[in-house]
Amino acid sequence: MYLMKERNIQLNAEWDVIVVGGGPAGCTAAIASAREGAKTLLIEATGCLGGMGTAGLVPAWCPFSNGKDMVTQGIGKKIFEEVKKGMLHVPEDALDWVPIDHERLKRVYDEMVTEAGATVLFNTMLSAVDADDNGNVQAIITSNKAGLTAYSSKVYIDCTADGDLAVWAGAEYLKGDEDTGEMQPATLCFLLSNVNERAYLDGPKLNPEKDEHSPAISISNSDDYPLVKDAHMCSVVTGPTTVGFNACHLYGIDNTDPMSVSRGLIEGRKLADQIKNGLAKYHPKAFGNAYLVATGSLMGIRETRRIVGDYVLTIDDYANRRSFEDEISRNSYFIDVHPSLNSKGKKAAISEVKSCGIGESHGIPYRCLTPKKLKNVLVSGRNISCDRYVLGSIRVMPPVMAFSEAAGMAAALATKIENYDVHKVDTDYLRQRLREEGAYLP
Amino acid sequence: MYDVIIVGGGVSGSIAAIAASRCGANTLLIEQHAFLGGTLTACGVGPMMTFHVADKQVVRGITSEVIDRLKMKGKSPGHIFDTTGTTYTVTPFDSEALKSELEDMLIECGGEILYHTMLADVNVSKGKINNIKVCNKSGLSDIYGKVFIDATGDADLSKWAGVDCYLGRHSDQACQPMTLKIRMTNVNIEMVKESIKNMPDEFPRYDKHNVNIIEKASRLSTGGFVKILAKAKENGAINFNREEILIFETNNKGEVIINATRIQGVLGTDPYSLTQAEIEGRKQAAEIVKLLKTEVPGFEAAQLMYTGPNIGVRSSRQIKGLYTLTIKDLLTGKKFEDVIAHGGYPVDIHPPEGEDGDESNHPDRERRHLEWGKMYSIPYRSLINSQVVNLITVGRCISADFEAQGGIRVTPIAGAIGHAGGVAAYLAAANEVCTSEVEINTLHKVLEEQGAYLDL
Repeated sequence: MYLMKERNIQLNAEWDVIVVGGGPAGCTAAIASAREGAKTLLIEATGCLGGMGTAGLVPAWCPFSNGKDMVTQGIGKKIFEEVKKGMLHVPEDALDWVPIDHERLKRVYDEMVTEAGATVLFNTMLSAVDADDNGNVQAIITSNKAGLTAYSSKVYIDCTADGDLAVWAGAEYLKGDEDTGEMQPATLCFLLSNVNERAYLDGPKLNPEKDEHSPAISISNSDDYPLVKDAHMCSVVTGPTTVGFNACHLYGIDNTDPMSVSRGLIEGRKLADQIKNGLAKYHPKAFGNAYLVATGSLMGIRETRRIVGDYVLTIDDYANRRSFEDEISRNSYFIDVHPSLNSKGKKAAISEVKSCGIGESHGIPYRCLTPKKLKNVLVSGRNISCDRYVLGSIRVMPPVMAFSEAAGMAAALATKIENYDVHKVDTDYLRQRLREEGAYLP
Repeated sequence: MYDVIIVGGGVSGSIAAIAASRCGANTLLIEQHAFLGGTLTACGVGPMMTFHVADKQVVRGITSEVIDRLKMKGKSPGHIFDTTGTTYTVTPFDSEALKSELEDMLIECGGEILYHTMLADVNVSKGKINNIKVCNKSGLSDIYGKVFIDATGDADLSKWAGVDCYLGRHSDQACQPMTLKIRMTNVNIEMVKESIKNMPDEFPRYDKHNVNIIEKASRLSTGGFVKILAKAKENGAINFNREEILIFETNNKGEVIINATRIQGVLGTDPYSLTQAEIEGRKQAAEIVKLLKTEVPGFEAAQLMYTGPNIGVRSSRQIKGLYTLTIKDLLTGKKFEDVIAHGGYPVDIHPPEGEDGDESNHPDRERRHLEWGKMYSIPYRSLINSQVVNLITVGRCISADFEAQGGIRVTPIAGAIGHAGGVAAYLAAANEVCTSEVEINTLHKVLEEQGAYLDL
């Protein structure tokens, strides 16, 4: 261990709300916070907004609807509709599993966040958090091309997806399977170009759950592709001759351990190449001349820490489609827990929980966003307070955007409360404001 | 405790790490992004330009080995004729394959890589770096090493350790503009070639005598569509200052890199300025893509695959080293006893804000003109300084004046400089000497053993 030499660094204290992490959670939260009139700073580690939907190359949005109603509305809906406008091959009324034009989405986020009045700071990483014994964060320390800088605000929103800010401020958290510690495996998404689109669309489906003749099964059974350990293969046409992939898994990666992610990225790039070669062999009409045009510049992480908040959302809440007095959004995505290596048995237990049917959804209470022990910190994104089974559902972009709008709004409201205490936000008023801005809260 | 720690995994830093590691140094490479390759992968630059002076390959060694390995896998056509007419050869490559090749080469010889990790601070006492502080998902941590290599491109480590630096043009500190690169696929290259032949007004870089050079390479590199661009600027479709659209075919069929955006008045060492540049770059890229798809033959069915992902920075800080390479040294081909790398890329300065018009019409243009076939040299003293004893600076931010940097800033030369920096760092660590005390004869010997070209 090494004690940091005491020294003065620059402090920037002009903010009402600081949002750390510019993925779908952070962008939605920053837009909502700025729209409420709070002076908002959004800090992002890469050079673009959007996280997994842009830098991570996730090829498609998970469903926005439950088959009857659009469950994510408000800001999330506006972002989604705006991106869709530029994608000529997507039907106007499509809501579920819509492909993503990653570059267009980057621009939509740039514009919506800056037009709302939030300030963006790219290429900047959270380094440390200074909190007092009462759970008040005093300042955060960041690293970027200017070295170390301190930033302070009235309220902070942790949209790091791993709960970095909250945990470094002293929040309690849970992580992975309670017995084995295992987490859902990761996936490095990628794009193949020069694909024969017709052959891809007319040929066998790649998803083995939809086609027993899927080439993914042949690839995973072959010895020629040793890194391919399973036949998971979601894919969609993202543009002319281009197919985006969320395929196969990388096991044992912990996103809170930088060395583990470094190893995973190297393996993930090799894996993408093997999948491409496998597709060229087993589906040559579509992929014989395809090439790997890009791999994600962010690893696709499904699970890490879950911050313990005033309420822990459970699989039981999901199974019973429970509603809450302080609910700030609804969710209808299925329990999508990708099995880790040793937890296959547990998957069976989860699969007994019935997915939300047509028109069904459950509520997400505001209390899942408020970490116990911390006063002026909200969490949003997949690291909210929940058990690891329901995490498998609420972790995807549409539900995340829905409750993150509430996080941004609540942060702005908390800047007006004594001690900026996020636990004291008037949830009736919050829900009213959310409805006024078009949120789906039936 | 590492023997050699390299901060920055761009071309220069990656080659430095491979070189040090092959010598036997216990080596750690720290990179902010999720992959190696720097401007070539994180900023989407391509092709590499240039390994040659006339017919002679002057960048060899590990940098060239990367290309040889890619070529064997069908991921690069190698060094091919430059059909833009700017220089001798260009080297297209597949950028995903490059990411894997660089990390494979480093891991093969035992080097370690730490991704998503940013330099946060440096702890110097009595002119020596004890440790660096880095920031990543574990928060802040300290890493100790014997010798440090600054491959940040902006001399961040050097500056923070107390090394004096220049910033930009010496008269007014202005830096070259930044560019967000655009990658498009499904481009009809044959139609672009037809335009070059049939629309001479759009391609002033060619005349009827040399237009056939576009057939001399297996991948097209070109620049033009100047009238279409000028018209678009007039009618408000393009809202930035650029005169030509540069188009480079990559290793992959129908895939091109477009160098056409220009963000002036921004500073690569200022995070707010960089943020502004990223956003402005994407706006400009959207304008260019729209123009290409609607006005430029061959791009009708093309699609934007990605930008960047990060903005490309051409110049920022240069260290004030033991020797500052000057434009005069380049133009006269000055020789150095402590030479460690060579280059022949012309002095290529994109206009910073404040100067009028196109740099090609600049009054100093002639004074800067590098004679065809002229080779220049880079001395070891430009990589080291008098203030920090265990530091070597590599890449585009070595000690050079603004105009000389306009030549040496390109990736093959950065690779050659990195190669020498890696070997020198190993020698300093192994012999427990200051980086300024590294024996030049030994450095030359090891570099030549590792295949580097040195015109001694």
